[in-house]
Order: sequence, then structure tokens, then C-alpha cells
Amino acid sequence: MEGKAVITYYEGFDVVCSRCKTEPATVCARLDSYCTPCFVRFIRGKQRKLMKGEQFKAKHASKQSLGEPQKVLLAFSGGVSSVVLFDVLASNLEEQMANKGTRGQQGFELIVVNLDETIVKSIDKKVRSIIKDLISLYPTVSIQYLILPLHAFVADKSSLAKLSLTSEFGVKLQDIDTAAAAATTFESLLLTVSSKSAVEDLLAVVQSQLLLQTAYQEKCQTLVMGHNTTRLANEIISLTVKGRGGIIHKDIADHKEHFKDTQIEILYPLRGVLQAEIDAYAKLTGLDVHVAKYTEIKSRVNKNLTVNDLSTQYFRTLDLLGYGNTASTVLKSGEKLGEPRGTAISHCRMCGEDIRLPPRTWLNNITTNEGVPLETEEELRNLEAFNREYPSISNGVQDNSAAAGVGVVDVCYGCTLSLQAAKPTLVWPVRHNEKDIINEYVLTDNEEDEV
Amino acid sequence: MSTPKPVKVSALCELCHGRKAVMKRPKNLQKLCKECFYHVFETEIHNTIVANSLFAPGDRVAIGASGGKDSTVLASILKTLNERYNYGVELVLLSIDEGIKGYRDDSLATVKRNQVQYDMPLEIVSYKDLYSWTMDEIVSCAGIRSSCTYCGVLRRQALDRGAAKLGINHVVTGHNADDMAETVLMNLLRGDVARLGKSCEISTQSEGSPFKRTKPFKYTYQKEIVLYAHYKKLDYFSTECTYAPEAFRGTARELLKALEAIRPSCIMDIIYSGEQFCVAPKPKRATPKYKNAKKIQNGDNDNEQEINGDGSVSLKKKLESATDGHRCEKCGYLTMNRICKACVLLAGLEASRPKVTIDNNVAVDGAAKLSKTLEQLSF
Ligand SMILES: [Zn+2]
Ligand SMILES: [Zn+2]
Ligand SMILES: [Zn+2]
Ligand SMILES: [Zn+2]
Repeated sequence: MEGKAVITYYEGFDVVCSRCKTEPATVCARLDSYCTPCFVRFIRGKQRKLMKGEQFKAKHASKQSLGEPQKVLLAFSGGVSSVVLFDVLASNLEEQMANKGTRGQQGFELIVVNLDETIVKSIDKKVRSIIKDLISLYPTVSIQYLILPLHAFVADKSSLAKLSLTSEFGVKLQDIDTAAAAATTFESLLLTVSSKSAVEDLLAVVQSQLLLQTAYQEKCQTLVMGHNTTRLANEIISLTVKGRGGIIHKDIADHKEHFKDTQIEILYPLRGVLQAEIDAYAKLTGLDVHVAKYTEIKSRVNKNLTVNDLSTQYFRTLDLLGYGNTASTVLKSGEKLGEPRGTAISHCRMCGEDIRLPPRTWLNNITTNEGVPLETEEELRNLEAFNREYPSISNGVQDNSAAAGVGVVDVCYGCTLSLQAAKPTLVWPVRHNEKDIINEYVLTDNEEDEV
Repeated sequence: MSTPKPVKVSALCELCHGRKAVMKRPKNLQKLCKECFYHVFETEIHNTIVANSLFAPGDRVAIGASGGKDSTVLASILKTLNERYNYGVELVLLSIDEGIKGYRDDSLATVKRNQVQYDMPLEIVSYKDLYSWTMDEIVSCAGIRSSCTYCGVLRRQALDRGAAKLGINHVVTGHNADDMAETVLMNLLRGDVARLGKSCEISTQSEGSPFKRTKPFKYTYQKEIVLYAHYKKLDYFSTECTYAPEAFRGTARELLKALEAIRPSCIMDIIYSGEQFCVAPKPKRATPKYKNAKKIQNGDNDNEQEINGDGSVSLKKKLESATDGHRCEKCGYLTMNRICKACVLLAGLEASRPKVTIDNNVAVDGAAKLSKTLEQLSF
């Protein structure tokens, strides 16, 4: 495909659609010419294929009372992929409603959820009105929606604690007093993070947590995301760059995620569709007027691009250079990855992911942090001056953590990196550690003997 | 003259707090004095060598020396560490003469000076002797676009063959952390699944192969290698290879540069990710593909035929025999396939070698000369 644009549009009526062989083609994708209805059917076909399971089918009247109703949660940002996925799913429901055998029945209930990110990103439209407009395009089907503020992430005040990084890459956990916990908002949490890439990384953790939580609360068995091929490829590169390569195998796969007492299936119905094809779908169907444009993460600190920005830019450049199929290749690479070697020794207290290779050990093995002894009198005088100015640092750095009621906790590599950008501490809802609970409450044989 | 003004506290080295900082450490932006920089740079490499048991006393080790900064610093630092920590290894410089006019002539002169400076034996093996082709001839025949592909395959074999000549089975190379990170990204971008799980191995050795390759600079930033060479005033050749990397690799390199600018740790971060990559086990037939080898589908998988680079059609051996430890039928080099990659590439070149050369009798039948030369090398 080198040298070829991914998508080209036809101006006149001289090319005939290669699918229906009657209508004039409007677009050329993957070397085939399509008229608009055939192209739309082609894209919708990807979702129909992925969600062809019995649980998503409209049931015949005789079987309707059986089992729990299937509920699907759609993560909706207002971006072009989520708008297209909405259309694809809503059209699926509309077809089911019109079907003769199951007339009047939807195969699943659709709930649209938008995480309101306006406190961290600028957006040119109100997502609530986008959703209302889109729902009104499908008057025969019933679709619910809800808007969730990011503040929901810090709603459980009892879980909040202060985290900070030591000079030896350890993570200290300190309790936070009730008043400070009560005053914590999502904005205040991000205020201490000084790098845009770190904010972006933490936001991704927040998003996936909130989406799972919403799916759980709404009793949705399935969570669908709009990520297309290009977006997933971008995710693979970004995760790699952020030291989170160990979770690619499940993060980009259609998979089941444990959440509390249940399992939630996560699907990416548009994984086989390139960004340019999504754009074409929106353009040809006129849905593009509903698409919201986000601008970068708001930052007081710098104008730097983020890891995701650079990765997005990179795939765009590759498209222009004629390497448009790289996104598909990267997605295939990511799909070939499996679970990393070794067993998980603990879980990250910030994001909950498995930790196999403790970041602290790994980083300390490849980083030397001791200086060369001083010799001349002048050097020793300098050290004295330094000690006077920074008594805390010079005191051997060893803070008496244990004495101050401070614990060292396990945090994964990616979260360690983000924590590095948080000064002096990051307030975060810390996950309970099963091991801590077990250690505290389960009596071992020895203890029983003592009693 | 009065006594020098005392150094401002804020300008002191962040590790010893006594000497004036002269540099920012590219890896973590720590401000360091020269002494502390040498110390952390050398100690980190020593720690890597020890943690991965790269050397054992009595080992004879060949340093793949190109005259460039990476391998020059490698030779210098291995000499330093070998003496400081008593590794007890014998170090030898091994250079490849690819036959690139202007570039290689000057860099070989550098290696020859290094031989004297570091007091190490030097062995030079040339593409011309090994393959009867110089890189310049290959480029004029195959075009500049694929020069890196050819050079990569040929150099790998040349280092092994040079080491064999010296009776050495361990070659250390100057691949640094930036190279590792670039490899991780390239393997993802190219969909090179076979290599994906091995992107970050510090030591590579094919099963049954006598040759071990190791990379003591696996965690060492390229920029720190440059700074070390600069402060130590090491004698190296700083011109890049005339044949610039192919365009696609160039884009990955640019991406890495942009990422490093916003987050210096990204090189380590990518390596950490790469170390976790593990290809999901999937019972699947291995079907190696080469650019100039086309498969013929004849419906029967067990009798799958393959056209080799030299145009011959061969029945593919069953999977059991095509594992590591198989030897190239043409040259005896260890390979996964019937014919090794170098021989496939060379056969393709022979087929398109300009008539002029043959008529001039300069290289009478390159293929014949190749097998003759290779026979002379003992393994
Ligand atoms: Zn059509
Ligand atoms: Zn984490
Ligand atoms: Zn110092
Ligand atoms: Zn061979």
C-alpha cells in the first residue's frame, strides 16, 4: 500500500460501486470502490460480526422472559469514533426492531456514558446535546444516557492517601486527614502533577476505572469502546513508551475484566477499521456535524506535547509518507503479545495492574546514585555550605519512614513514572491490598499458639 | 590573585555536593561533576555485566570495533573495568571492513590507533574476502534503498566468522539503550513477531551455535556515551555511515528523539516494556518469508515448495529439521533454513551482477569464490 492514500473520494459518477454494481461509487477504500450505502454496510459489518453472539440477538417472543436482559455500555467521548460507533450500534437495534420474527424487540439495551472531561480538556460542543441529537436520529429504539463527572473518581474519601516517590524509586504512602480528604476534588488531585504526559497517563487509569464502575453499577455485562485500528496502534506505542508494555496483551484485546464480584466483557467493535475510514463514514453519512473537537490537556505548566500526541502525530506522518498500513501492522503485533513471563508478585496500589518485575528493583539495578568521595578542602567546604542550606537532604536521605507511620507500597512502573511528576505528593484513591488485609486479620498458627 | 570564589550551593553536583556540576545527566537530568559522572557511568555498566554474568575469568572476548563512538567507548571501558574489577578476560578488537570508500577507510585507521592506545590485538575481516562483494559494489548493484538490510545480515555473519578465525566464541557489541529502544519500536512497527519477545535480550545465542553476542551498553544512553568520549578525549571516528538508514527506520528514530525530548526516561521505559513482551504461545507452523523467496501454494502443506533467491525450487524440509542448529547448505553457517539469509541475499546479487564485472574477470564467479573462501574458515 506504500504511496497510496488509505481513502480517496470520487468526484463524478463515472465509477460504479464494486459491491452492488449499480450505484455510483463515492469512496475508494482498501482498493475497492463503494457507494455510500455499501460503504456504511461494510463498516457496520465489522460490529455485526464481533457482536453476533446469541446474547446480543433479539429473542423470539416465546424466549423473551428467559435470563437477565443484556445491557451494553457505550463509552462516548463525542470524538468521531464514538459517534460512528453509536450510529453503528443504534442502526443494529433499529434493524432488530424492524425484523419480522422478533418485531418490536431489541437484542440488548444500550446505555451511553460520557465521562465529562471538561475540567481537564477543552471541547467545542456540549456532549450532552450531541448525545440527544444522535438519539433523536433513531426514534424507534430506546437508548439511555448518562454523564459522569471525573469527580466520581475521588468520591470514596476513605480510600484517599498521599503517595510520594523516594530517591530510591520506592513509593511512600501517608494517611491524609479527614478534612483534607473531604476537600479533595479531581482538579486538586491533578494540581500537583507537573507533566502533561503524566496527567494523560493518570487520566487513562481514571477513565478505565470509572467506565468499569459505571458498567458495574448499571448492571451492564458488556462495555464497548470506539477505538479504531489507528487508535489501538497508538495505544500500543504509547503504552510501550510509558513503561506499561506488560498490559498491552489484555488492554487492546476484546477481553473480560474482573470487577468486584463480576466480570465485564470489553469489546472494541471498530478494531478492524482505520481512522481514515471512520472519518469517511462520518463524512459520507453527515454525522461529522455531531463530532466534538477536543483540544489538548489544559496545563498550567508547559506547552509540551504528550506521549499520546507524539504517537498520534507519528501515525499521521506515516499516512502522509505512504506507510498507511503501519497501524494495522502494529495492532497485529500487539495482538500477538501474551501475558508476560513470571508470576505477578503483587498488584499496583494505584491502577491495580499486576506487578511482575518490581520497578524499584529494576530501576535501582540500572541506576547508580552514589557520588565520588570528596578530597580537597575546598570541596569539603562546599559540602558544609550545602549541609547548612539543605539539612534534610544531607542527613543521609534516610528518612525514618517506619517511625512516621509511613508505609512503602507496591506501585507499577507506569504509575511510578507518573508519580515522579507529582510534587511533593499525589493524593489518590489507594486500592486495598489483599495481602495487608490477610496479614492484619488472619491469625497464623504461631499467633494462635501464643494466645 | 585572590582565592577562587566558592561555588554556589545550587551549582554543586547533586551526588557529592562538593564539586561543581559540569553537566546534566541525559538519563535523568541530574546535575553532576565530571568525577561523579565517570563513576556512575562506569559503575552502571559494571553492574550490568555482573548482574547478567556476561564474563567469566579466562574468557576470550572479541569487541566488535567499528571506530565509531559506541565501540571505541566500549573498548576503553571494558579495558578499565577488566583491570579495576579483575574480570580476568582477554580482550581482542575485531573489525569488519565493509568496503565503503571514504567512510570505512578512515574509521579503520581509527581502530588501528585504538589497537595501540588500548594495547589489544586487532583482527580485520572484509566483506570482499568473505563474500567477494564490497558494500559499495552491493549498493551499486542492488540500490541504496536496501543497503542496511544487506549490511545488517552480512555484518552479523562477518563478526561470527571473524571471531571463528580468532578461535573466540563471544563477541561484545556497542549496541546502546537507544538502539534497544529503537529495536523494540521497530519490531512493533514491522510486526516482527519472531523478534518481539526477544527485543531486549542482552545476550543472544542461537541454540547449538558456538557464538554468543552480548551488549554491555544495553542500559547506557547514547548521549552519555558521547559525553564520556568527550570528557575522556577518546579517539573515535564520528562520521555516520555513508549509507543512511532506510527511510522507515529513520521515522522511528525521529519519533524516539521527539519522545526523549519530552521525557528523558522514555528510553529506559521502552526497554522496561520490551522486557515484558512475550509472544502468546500459539501452535503455528513457522513459515519464514524472505523478500526474494516466493511461496507456491500447491494445496499440500507438507510438500510446500519454495523458490529460493537463486531461483532454485526446493522441497521444504519438515518443521523438525528446520529448527535452530541447522546448517546452511551453501556455506555451513548456522541457520533456521536450508540456505542462510546471507547466501540468499548474495545469490540474488549474483543473478543481477552487471555483466561488465564478469567480463572483466575481476570476480570470476562470485558464488564459487564465496564457498571456497568460507571453506577455509574453520569453525
Ligand atoms: Zn454499492
Ligand atoms: Zn499502576
Ligand atoms: Zn559529584
Ligand atoms: Zn550460507
